[in-house]
Amino acid sequence: MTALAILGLGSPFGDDRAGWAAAQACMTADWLRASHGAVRVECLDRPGLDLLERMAGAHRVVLVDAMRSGATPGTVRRLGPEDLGRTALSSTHGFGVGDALALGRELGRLPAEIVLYGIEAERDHGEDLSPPVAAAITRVVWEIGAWVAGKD
Amino acid sequence: MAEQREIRVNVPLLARVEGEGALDLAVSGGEIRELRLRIFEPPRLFEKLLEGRSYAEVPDIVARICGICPVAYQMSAAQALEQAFGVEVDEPILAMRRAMYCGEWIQSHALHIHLLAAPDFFGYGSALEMAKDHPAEVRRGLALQALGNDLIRLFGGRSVHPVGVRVGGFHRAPARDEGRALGRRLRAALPDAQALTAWIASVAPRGQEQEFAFVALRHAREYPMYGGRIASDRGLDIGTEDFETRFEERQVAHSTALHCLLEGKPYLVGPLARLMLNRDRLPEEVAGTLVRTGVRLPSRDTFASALARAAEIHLALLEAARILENYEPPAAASVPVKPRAGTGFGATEAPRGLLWHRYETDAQGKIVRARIVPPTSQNQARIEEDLRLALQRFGLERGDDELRLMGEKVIRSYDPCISCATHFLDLRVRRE
Repeated sequence: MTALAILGLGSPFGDDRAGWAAAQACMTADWLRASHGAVRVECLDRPGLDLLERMAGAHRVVLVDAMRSGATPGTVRRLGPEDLGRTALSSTHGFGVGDALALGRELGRLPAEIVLYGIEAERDHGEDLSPPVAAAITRVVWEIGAWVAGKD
Repeated sequence: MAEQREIRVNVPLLARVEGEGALDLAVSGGEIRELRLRIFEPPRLFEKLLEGRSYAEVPDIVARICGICPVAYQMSAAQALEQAFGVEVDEPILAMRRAMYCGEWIQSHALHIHLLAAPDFFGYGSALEMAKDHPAEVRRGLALQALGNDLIRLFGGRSVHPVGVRVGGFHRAPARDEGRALGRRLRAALPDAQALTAWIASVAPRGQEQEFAFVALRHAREYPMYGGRIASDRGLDIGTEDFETRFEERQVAHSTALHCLLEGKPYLVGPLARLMLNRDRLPEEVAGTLVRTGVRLPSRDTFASALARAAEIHLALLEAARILENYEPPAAASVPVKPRAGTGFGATEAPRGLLWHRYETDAQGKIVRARIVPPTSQNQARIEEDLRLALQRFGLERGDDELRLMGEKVIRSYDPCISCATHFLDLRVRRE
């Protein structure tokens, strides 16, 4: 059983990399190094239902993902699993985080504590993050650190 | 909608433009005057994108065509390019490819059965609703799917858009203990696959027997997956290089996907076609489980496809377990590849059916021309034909919602690799 898993979600397209960038940044964060290896950090490429499998075995899970909510690009929001609008269980291609979490809840397979950080995306193409999203990475890592430490 | 419902996390950005679909129906005097399934298919764009690229990049690029069946694309591509270069991969590498391919069948079929098809059987609007009432079956399905993903990950490094496959073999071979441990887990899951087959046989509805040809690969010894000749139940038996002489892709105005016809007629590819053409290649355990369901085969009812998928999960578990239980890493994970100018053909059985590739290369191994014929475009004419018959029989006087649901069920039974296959279907009915 891992105490904590930090899972960066995304794809290689533009700001959809934000979740990966945040997870990678967590790997080198001081608070993570101080945790003595009790944390599993992974970058997942559109895991769909496999997300349930990747969360299994962790007591607390942090998900980080790009989002589109209409907010200013770079906005960071913390969401609980109940906040995620399901994208309707429609296509296995588009099986989103919300769908996976809803199904996981139905099957009693969610970790004890779960939180999702969404980073508002600006563009869906290119190999780099857009400047506002790149600037948000440090902020989200700091917020995750605070949540992990229970200060938030 | 409440404000929070507007929040869409992990909304597909560019990555998931897999497809949009619509069904146009024109009805007059109780008859269907026009029926068009409009879908968007990405392989067409990829063919152009590949031109000028090195052969070495092809497996990773084509893996991006489909998030559900990347292995199939990699395998057909590697096979075609190896043929173009005159490269023969050896037996241990072929076994590794077959095992990895098994993983894709398992995960893709398990996903389709449990998330897309089974809710239809009971009349649920989604898998989530079904999970409330049938949690044990959904859990079993997800466990099978996860095993399939683990198999792909073992060889491909990751389960989505795996990166392990290369022309000539693999970038690396799994460690001995890792392979064998997974082999034991696959063996242990066999009773689940048997139970799944029995469950599907008991809950799947019956549709309509229709008249059409089955097309699938046929291999001298194996149940077809990685190779074989292209065969039909109407006497077709050709090498993969002759595909273009008998199959014709036709542009239709209403869809960016081409319609593929065999001698001018629609045909079926996929699990049901494979099973019907290759029942004599099934391992005894799988054939026995199928017989015990009491379902009469052969069947030309596409709703029997779900049963074929369940049987293929069983088969793929068995095959991969057999390969991995005594797995020894090969001395080399790949054979040397020397590019040359040439043309090569690859044909494998993707979860959804025959996936055919052709590549022309120059002396440096750069792609001059690529052609990819995916299973969904091969089935599209058949789906339209089926819809016509099924909706006519169902009753065109019914309301749009009922027609839409029936149409969706028919389309879903083909498991087409397009998101329109599910609840996105935009139905437009013109009644005169």
